[in-house]
Amino acid sequence: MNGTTTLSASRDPLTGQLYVPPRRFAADGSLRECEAVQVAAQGVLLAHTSYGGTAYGLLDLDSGTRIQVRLLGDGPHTCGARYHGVRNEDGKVVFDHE
Amino acid sequence: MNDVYVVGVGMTVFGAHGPGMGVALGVEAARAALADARTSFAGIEAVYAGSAHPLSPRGVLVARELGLTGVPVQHVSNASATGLAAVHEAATAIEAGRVDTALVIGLDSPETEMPTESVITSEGNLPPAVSFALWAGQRIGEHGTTLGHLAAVAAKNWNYARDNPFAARRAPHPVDADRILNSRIVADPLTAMMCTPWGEGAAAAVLCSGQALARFPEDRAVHLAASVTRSERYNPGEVLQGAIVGSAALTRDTARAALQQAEIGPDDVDVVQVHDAFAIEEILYYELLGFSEPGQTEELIEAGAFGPGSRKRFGLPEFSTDGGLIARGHPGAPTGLAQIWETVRRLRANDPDRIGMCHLLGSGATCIVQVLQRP
Repeated sequence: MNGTTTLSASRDPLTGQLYVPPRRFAADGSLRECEAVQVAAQGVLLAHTSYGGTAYGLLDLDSGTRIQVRLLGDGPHTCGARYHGVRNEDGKVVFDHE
Repeated sequence: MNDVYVVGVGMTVFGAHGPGMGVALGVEAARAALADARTSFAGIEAVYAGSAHPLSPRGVLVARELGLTGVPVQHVSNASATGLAAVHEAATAIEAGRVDTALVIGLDSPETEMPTESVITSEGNLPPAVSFALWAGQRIGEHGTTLGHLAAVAAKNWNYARDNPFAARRAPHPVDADRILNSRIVADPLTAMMCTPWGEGAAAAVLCSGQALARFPEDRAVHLAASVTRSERYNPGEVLQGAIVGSAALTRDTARAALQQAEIGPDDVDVVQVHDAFAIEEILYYELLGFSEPGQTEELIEAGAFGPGSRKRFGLPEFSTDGGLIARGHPGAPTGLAQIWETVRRLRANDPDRIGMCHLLGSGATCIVQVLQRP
């Protein structure tokens, strides 16, 4: 495992709207190209569950975006706690308590 | 624009039929719908066939079995919303005056085994149970919804399915909330009895224009008063909550538009078939479809609203009266036609129901809401 990582995202250059995961075009149909950015993989856990031996969470990133993520291990996981992303052995981002 | 009527409905049992049964199931459902409309395939001017599973047979293979009459056969696919999408396309053709009669078939039965969940995850989604378990967790944290509320909704739908001969899950005895809560955990807090079993099957409907109504028995017709389909709309700053069924605004906006098109309000609706693949969904859709407000929904569930007698006791419609996706099953495309089947059954029956609503979402995300009205 490595330390806290970042997530690929994109930003609408006109409105500043962030998209995680990234979108190529702004969502308003203008076909305005978004710029690629990285956002910190950290935020607050809103809800969590476990399915088939894997833990998942709903996370409000500090960047203001809500995403569904994989959580590290079986927990215990805590709603309202701060989580950050780390890369696992497969190079994928999973989230754990900060 | 021509009025559109549903004059025949039919369906097969939903459940595990096994590979290679797709065409036979489609033919069975179509024959049942045509018989219900007291007509034959020779009286059909267009076929709209829907399937959501990539390994289900194409509808033209069903139409070919029913007759080589040269009618146009269009294929429709829109994930879980496919069945209502096929109805929408057929209705659009009738409204435009291109045809006066159409057969709509929803068919999903893969030719080789491939679980529905595999299809959904192959599109980059999390397993559906995960997304909706997270919805449930969020709702519990923000609104005080309990496991008991989720179980009460699921038990209601299981008990409705006991009277549906086509339901995938027919419990021999009444189901209570404890039994729901004690079933296997799928994705905490969702138990197996709170989740759709998916399944296979087919369902169909015969649609006609107002001009063609005289060709069918008078007691068959139910008016399609509204059909609205939407995909997600961009709202600056909106937080999307997952890839499967989009934002809350999607259902809210589609339902409002459908009610407006039908020139009615939520108070006029007697019965609703809703996308209850997971119990948490039905609770959220009580609010998003306009029948309840946050802060009152849980109390209404505790009092027995949205179940048998809800209209009389609470002035609120009954929901998922054939067992819903939780108990009737959710094969994919047939689901929307099963909703039409149930709504037509309710509106034809000799009881006070006059207006029904059908609601489905398709992964991606799309939403379709249709309103049916007894003439």
